[in-house]
Amino acid sequence: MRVVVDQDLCGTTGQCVLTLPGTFRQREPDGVAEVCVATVPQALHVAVRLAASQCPVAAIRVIESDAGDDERASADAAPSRRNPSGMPRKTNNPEGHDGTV
Amino acid sequence: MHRAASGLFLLSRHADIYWALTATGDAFRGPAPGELARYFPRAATSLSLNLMASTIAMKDPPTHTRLRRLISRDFTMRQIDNLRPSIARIVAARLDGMAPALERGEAVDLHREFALALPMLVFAELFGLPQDDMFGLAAGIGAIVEGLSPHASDPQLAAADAGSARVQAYFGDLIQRKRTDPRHDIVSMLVGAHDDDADTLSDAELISMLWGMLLGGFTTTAAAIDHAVLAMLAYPEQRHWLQGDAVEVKAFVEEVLRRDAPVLFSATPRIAQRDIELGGVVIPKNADVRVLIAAGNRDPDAFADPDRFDAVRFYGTNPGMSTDGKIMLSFGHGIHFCPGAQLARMQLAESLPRIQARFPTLALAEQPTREPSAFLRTFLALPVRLNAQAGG
Repeated sequence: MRVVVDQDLCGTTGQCVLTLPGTFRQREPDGVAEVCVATVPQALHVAVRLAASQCPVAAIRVIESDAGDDERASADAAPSRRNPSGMPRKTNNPEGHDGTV
Repeated sequence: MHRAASGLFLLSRHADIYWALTATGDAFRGPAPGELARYFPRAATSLSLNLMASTIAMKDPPTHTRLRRLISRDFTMRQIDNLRPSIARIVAARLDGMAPALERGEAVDLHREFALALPMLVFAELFGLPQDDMFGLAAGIGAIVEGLSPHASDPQLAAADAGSARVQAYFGDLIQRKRTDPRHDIVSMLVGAHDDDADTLSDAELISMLWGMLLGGFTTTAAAIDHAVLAMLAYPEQRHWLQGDAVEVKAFVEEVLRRDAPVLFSATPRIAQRDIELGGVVIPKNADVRVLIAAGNRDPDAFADPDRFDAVRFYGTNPGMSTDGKIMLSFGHGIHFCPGAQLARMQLAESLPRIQARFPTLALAEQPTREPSAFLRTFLALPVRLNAQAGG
């Protein structure tokens, strides 16, 4: 598994750093989050998915394409408001409306 | 969802609020400068509303991103963590200051002596202000914040504007002082950014930024500390959380923030970019939508038995998320997520275990006095004393 932060989108809340300080850090000059690991160790997969789902601006994208990692297809890693894997229980998302007509 | 007589759309369900906060900057926007009069009919004559219009909370990307990243440098997790020793020192000193009167059996106003004093002193340190200046500024903040409520009366707004004028004048002088004698503080940094390039931070944005941080910064933190102490006193069976490790203290802090959100609803408009359907109701394009944060935090669909205080909801979770994966809304969500969230959490986490350890027999001396407000859940006084009988 890999994880990336969209640095244009990053809201500088530091939420990911607070949650997983070994995986994310903030740039000194502007607080934008960065990933500090090349690949995410197996033991942190659930936690990283959860951190991605909790990002207030959905700037964290999980790429689950490592060979041998059969937990989840990469399609599930879109940085969207959909129900993320790794949540203890669903869901944060309002169901039944997409907010537009 | 409720459509108020004023035309505002009010969202109260957790799921709807969460969605609206996440969609801010996309489906919702802040008012453009040219439409201020439409959303704030009194803006033309109100200094406070004009200052608010230039704050970061009212801006959309890319302006929002530019301004947010200017201040983010001083609010990174590392920077906040560096403040921990100072915060711990201030907490200990304030508790020492309260101890003699309490030990003589007297009542002490914990709101004024501690809950308000702590964030003010932290703010003074962050901004590089003399403490006396800070206490002078703070006296007018409540009136300004109250004037920003959509329900504020004309006299309330006039009082807010008088307060804002004093704050503006003070910051004008402060900016000059920091320009000639810059230090390692937020004001010096922002003045430097402005002087380097006014496109990075304009005059109006600089003043509004300082004004906005002052307003957002400590009335809310003080209220959270007041509520936390009230929870300690009301639920002695939950005090064990404050005698435990950092994970247990965090659970207590998050539950206080959830159950007693200091800001009841959003002061800034979220304007629908298009017709938006929510729960079978159409919010028309350009409607002003406000989110009822405190109601969302007590939505039984998000937090079971929501009026009950139970720190276990947040035990072992990421900060801000319940064991059911629900977001605690008090700091917002989306692009306007409170930049001071971690600073507030740290002040609570450094305070509560020390209050518990230092004054295990703390009790209410009288019922607390709340500030009359439809908008904020804040206090005027929280009188406490030591209970000779209680065993802690």
